[in-house]
Amino acid sequence: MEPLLRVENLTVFFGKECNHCLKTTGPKMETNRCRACGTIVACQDVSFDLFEGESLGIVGESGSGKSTLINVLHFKTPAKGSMFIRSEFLPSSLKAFLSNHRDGYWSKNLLSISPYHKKRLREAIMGIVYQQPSLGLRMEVSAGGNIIERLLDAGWRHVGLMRTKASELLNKTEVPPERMDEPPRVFSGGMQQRVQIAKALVHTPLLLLLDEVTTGLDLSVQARVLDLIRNLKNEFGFSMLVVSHDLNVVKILCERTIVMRYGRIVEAGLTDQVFADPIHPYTQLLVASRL
Amino acid sequence: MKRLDHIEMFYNFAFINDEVKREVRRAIFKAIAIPGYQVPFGSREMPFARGWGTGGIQITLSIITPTDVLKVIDQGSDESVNAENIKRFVARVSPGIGITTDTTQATIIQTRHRIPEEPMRSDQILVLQVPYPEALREVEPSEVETRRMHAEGDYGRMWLYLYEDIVRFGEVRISYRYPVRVNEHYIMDPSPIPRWDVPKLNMAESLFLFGAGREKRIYAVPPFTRVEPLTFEDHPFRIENFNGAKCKLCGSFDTYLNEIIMTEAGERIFLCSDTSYCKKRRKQLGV
Repeated sequence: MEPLLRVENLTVFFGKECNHCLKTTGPKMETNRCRACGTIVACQDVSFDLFEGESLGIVGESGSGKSTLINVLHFKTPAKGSMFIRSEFLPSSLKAFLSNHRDGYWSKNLLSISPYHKKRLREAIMGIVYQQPSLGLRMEVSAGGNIIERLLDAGWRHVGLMRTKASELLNKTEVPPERMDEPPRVFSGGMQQRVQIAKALVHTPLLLLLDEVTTGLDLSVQARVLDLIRNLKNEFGFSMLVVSHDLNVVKILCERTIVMRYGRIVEAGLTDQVFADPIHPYTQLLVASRL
Repeated sequence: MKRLDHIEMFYNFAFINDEVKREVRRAIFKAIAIPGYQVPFGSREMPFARGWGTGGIQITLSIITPTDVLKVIDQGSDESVNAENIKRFVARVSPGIGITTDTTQATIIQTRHRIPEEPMRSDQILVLQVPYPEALREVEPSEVETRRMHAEGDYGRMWLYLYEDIVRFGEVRISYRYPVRVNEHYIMDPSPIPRWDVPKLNMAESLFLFGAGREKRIYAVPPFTRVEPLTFEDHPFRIENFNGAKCKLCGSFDTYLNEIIMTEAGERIFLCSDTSYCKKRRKQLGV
């Protein structure tokens, strides 16, 4: 099987970078702040493949570069390195612009395409769910409107059809569709999170990015949201990138796991393997320190 | 008469000097080349208060020549203070031009809030005064962000705004400044014209120039350009409905009407908003 998405040597600096940045940071130095210039090296040489229909977990403590990684993949943070998607998965309207004409198999480097194409691609193939619903949702707009925004971006112009589609999605994410005209700020936290998931999935994306989705929800709601995501994945068949500091979440959702520390990948492998037989000392610590 | 000599001695034809004219004309050319795109320009201080048509007057003065015939309207009226002042000013600083109230005779029409009822011809230019050139301002307060939205075609939020209106009120509430899509590309603010006038922009024979003096923007709709109001397939665009009311003076029912309350009891009449058209019609009918 061939990967859907290939990420190579992703490096993100926050600040003016110097020659010492890479040498003075990382797990060995136990910091990600450059001693010489104070630049934060949020990610360095992060490479991984994501397969079709696979879910990949990224774990690590806070400040390890997990969320930066997701933001880079969502084209929100600029980065060095490269990111390719298989040309056949490009939306037909973008194929002419984004396929690599020499290769044909992989697309162009998605980190260096124009902001316009980044936006189009993001709208066509990606969905994102944030930890705080207020980041992913417009709280002043109705829940239905939030979901419909994605359809409007995709060019839908029929209110009736869009509302049918939105209520379908709300039904699937277990939000009562009769509340679709209320703004999400009157909803409970779990319900807001489910509206966010509906918004991320309404245009049937190829890739779903989950950034700490269950953090801040109580345990029973966490279980329901995780269950929901798993069921939706079976139904839609998208690939997933799950960022979490909660090992249980990754254990439930993901087949493969990457462990990050100070912006570097310290260990990667099958989830069961990483958690049952951790090799890197930090992973061993992480697994042992589970509550 | 003495005053006129003074103006002729110390001022260029049409008040502003040639360098500024060239700059404004360049902005106009660029605006015509990219329909609906807001071109920034160095808006000058005019002997008017900001908000009284300084953007429109700069365009008018930059394009006017001694053979032009000018008409100025304000909310459809030729006689309002704003229209009279602009007309008098332009006539004084550009000797030789003609002034008219007849739409068919004019070559340049500067207007605020209305497009004349009589269809415009290809040898005519309509200059609109614009208070807020940014159509996306309703949904996004930041100028940096709206420019990015225009550049990326990120118009989902504008559509969402219309959708929310439909959900809450059953239809889009916007009565004037109805957002339009120009040449299937940029979303543009057609200046505060009523919905009634929006279809007149579509595939029109004449050139439309929009000037915003305070916001320092010029944009344009060239002749024969598609201008479509933003609408949903199942909620078509609708112009104002006067429920069969007629103009009290000329009796027309196919023009944009102003409603005027006459008595304290609430008795009201309707009058044509376009006064010169109304006058013409009355003459023809012999009323």
